[in-house]
Amino acid sequence: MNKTKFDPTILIVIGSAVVMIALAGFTSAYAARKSSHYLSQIVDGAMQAPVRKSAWTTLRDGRILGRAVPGKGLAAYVVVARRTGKEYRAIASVDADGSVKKVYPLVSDSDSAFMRRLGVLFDRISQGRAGTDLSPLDSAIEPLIVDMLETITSLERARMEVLDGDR
Amino acid sequence: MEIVENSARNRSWAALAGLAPLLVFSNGLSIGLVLGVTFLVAHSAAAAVALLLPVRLGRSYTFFFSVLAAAVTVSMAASVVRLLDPFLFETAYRSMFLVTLTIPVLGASVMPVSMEEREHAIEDLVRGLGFALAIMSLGAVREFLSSGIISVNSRAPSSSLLPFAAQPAGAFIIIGLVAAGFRAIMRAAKRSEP
Repeated sequence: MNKTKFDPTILIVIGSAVVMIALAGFTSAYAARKSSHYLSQIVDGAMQAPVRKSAWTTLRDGRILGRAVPGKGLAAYVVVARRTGKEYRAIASVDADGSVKKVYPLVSDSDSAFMRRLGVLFDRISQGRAGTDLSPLDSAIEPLIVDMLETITSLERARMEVLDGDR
Repeated sequence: MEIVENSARNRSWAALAGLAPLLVFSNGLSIGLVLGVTFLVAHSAAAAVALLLPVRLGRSYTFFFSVLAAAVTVSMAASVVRLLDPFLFETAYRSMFLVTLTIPVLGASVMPVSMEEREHAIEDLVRGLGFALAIMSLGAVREFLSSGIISVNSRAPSSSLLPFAAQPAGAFIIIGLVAAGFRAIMRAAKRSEP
């Protein structure tokens, strides 16, 4: 009768793989926590309110990276718009109905005319202000900004509905 | 001899074609560095596991564990990038996880069967380093062509030279030009041989 020998190598390999996966999972969770802390600090720093002590939530909904909600005060959304390697980042503080109260620019690639104009229009349209200067880029940029503002509004309203439901 | 040369050449072209997604995503120095280093660690991990696992484990298990090792190292590399710069991570994480499924990494995960293949394993690692350097340098070249400057600081003043180079179509054109130039040099070198 043939007796198949048990090979312990496969168990060692599987054990090593499980340890490596667990280590990767732990590292990923740690990095996510640190990243949230860093991003909420960025928001609080830019809004010049270190006492906010916001809690960060990563959303990744279109051009909305995430949301920083303080214990007391207005929620803020971080917007990241990218185009051909260039980037525009800003913080938009919103009131309870989701309309943008103020825009705090973080980074804008100043060598890109598109990003410069995006910054100007995002600030202007979100505040509902009219401007006299026009650019041929406006027709391409305005739909992006409208989309960003609508996304922020719907996210904030959804958050408020959940909060109201909890009360 | 010619068949062996042709086969090696075809493998190199297939690897380059498999690397195309990463070359397209690499449109700046910082993202090129991230993708290049991630590719290097994933490729080295896959090649090392494929070489070190005992032959009696079989080809399928070896391939599975090598790809798993590559995926785990990519995850760790992504975590390191997230710790260093969360915004860079948000830009690069989708293309980083693509690294595991590129043809060179999958090729490195295949267990070397013969003794000769095992002896040439170091060449595989060097090839991985070459691919990583290609990803990084293409990122630098595309950033230079598109913005006229190479800088990790995105706020550095610059002027646009050829903005098209930062787009995917620009990447394919640059890859085509580099490949054609490389081929012409190789032909000229072959002709000059006595």
